[in-house]
Amino acid sequence: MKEILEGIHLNKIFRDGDSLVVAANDVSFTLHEGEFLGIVGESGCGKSTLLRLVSGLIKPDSGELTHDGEAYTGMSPAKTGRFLQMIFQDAYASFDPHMRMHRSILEAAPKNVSEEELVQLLDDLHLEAKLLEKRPGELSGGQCQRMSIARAILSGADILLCDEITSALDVVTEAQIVSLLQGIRQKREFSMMFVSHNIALVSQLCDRMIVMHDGQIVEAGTTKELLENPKQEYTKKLIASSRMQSL
Amino acid sequence: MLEIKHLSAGYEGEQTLHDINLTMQPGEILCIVGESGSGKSSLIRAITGYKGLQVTEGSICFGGQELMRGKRACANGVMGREIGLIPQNPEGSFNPIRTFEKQFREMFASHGMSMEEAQIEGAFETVGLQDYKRILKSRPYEMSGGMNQRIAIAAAMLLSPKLLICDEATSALDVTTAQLVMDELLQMRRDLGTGILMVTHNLGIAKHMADRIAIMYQGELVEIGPCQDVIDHPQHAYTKQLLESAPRMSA
Repeated sequence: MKEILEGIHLNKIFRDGDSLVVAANDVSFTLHEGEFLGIVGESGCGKSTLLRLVSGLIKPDSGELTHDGEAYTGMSPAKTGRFLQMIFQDAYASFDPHMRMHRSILEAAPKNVSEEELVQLLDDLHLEAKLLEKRPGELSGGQCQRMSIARAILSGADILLCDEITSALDVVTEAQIVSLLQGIRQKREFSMMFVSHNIALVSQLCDRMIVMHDGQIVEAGTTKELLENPKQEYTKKLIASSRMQSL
Repeated sequence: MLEIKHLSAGYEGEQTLHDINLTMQPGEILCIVGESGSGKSSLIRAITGYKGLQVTEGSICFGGQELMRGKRACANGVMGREIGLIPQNPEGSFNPIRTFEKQFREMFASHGMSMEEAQIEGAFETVGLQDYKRILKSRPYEMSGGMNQRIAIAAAMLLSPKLLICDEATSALDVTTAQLVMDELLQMRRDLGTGILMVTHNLGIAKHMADRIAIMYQGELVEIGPCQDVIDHPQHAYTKQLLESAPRMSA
């Protein structure tokens, strides 16, 4: 599979008062075309920092990022938006509360997107077209998050960066979004980096997984390898605990 | 140990609990599973006599004693020593600007116990907290939410109550820390026979902890039964939907 995105020896240190927090410590990864890559770990492990580095929201202290073989380290989010789009945990906060969904969603889309294309995508996400007339506050959490997925896909970017996108939703809505993402994957070409603390969820959705701890990648591999044969002690503990907290 | 009959309750005209009936045996672990707004927290508030919640009908008995006084349960005599509560939001159970040491001393004193540091050290260790001396000198506002939650869990455990009520006690914790807490709760039941009423939205946790599972939906208790029965043979449509939706570890 072709490599579409690569992070090479990424480092990022934040200052918190007098102390330094190493949020990314020599992080290297590869995302292949069409792949769903899960990034798991506990609070503060650096998984959200990694997505922010990749998206250009924050700049690495050192290291390099490439898209399709071309370096884009230091590129602003406005420019990275052409090939990647970030989706956040709080869907409401990622829309202008005063703007109708129709306008919000088309804002990031290329000019030539047709109304049919928009309605088809909404249909794929089980959203009724009439919801386009609503403002974010009038939608449920699940509807609003599906709208932000629609906006990201419609923008023409072929990489989605998802940061805990189902964590604020109830389990039934969460399962629906995961199954919609799996469904859309059959119809459209896109790759995804999916950050979540929920390993069971990631195991159902992603082809490969990266386990992070203290700003470092502890272990990476196919979902099957990691679940069935974790090598590192931390991964073993994380997976064993997750098994005891899922069905 | 706990017997709830025909309990209905709500907030200022909005009814959040409808005709709840359930009993708990001493030493039993009952998990109440449901999603936001299902009434799980209202049920706990009814049992613990939360002031904002009005009980419109029904009775709550603990250890053969009726707790209901007028519109709410009066749990003053039993809270802490007999019924422990681990709240969802630990910030609500500590004074943010007083040291843990003062608050722990006060907690023990109010139940006629003296504070043993060795005991506290042990309780902190079981919830994964090292350096108990430093923690005792700290104040809740200086701690992260996860730290405060673990300290609240340790506090409830130290009083070794007969019934421990956990309101989403592990949902704000990382999965490995949550595991420590779950293991410790099971240990408490084994060693001290503590009954546990555990409210959670996570069916996975219920599966690994509960003797019985009760499912709540829109203020009603829609299904209750032995853990494996509910998971293998759900009766109510909502239970089936929850089971289908819960993520499973699979490659």
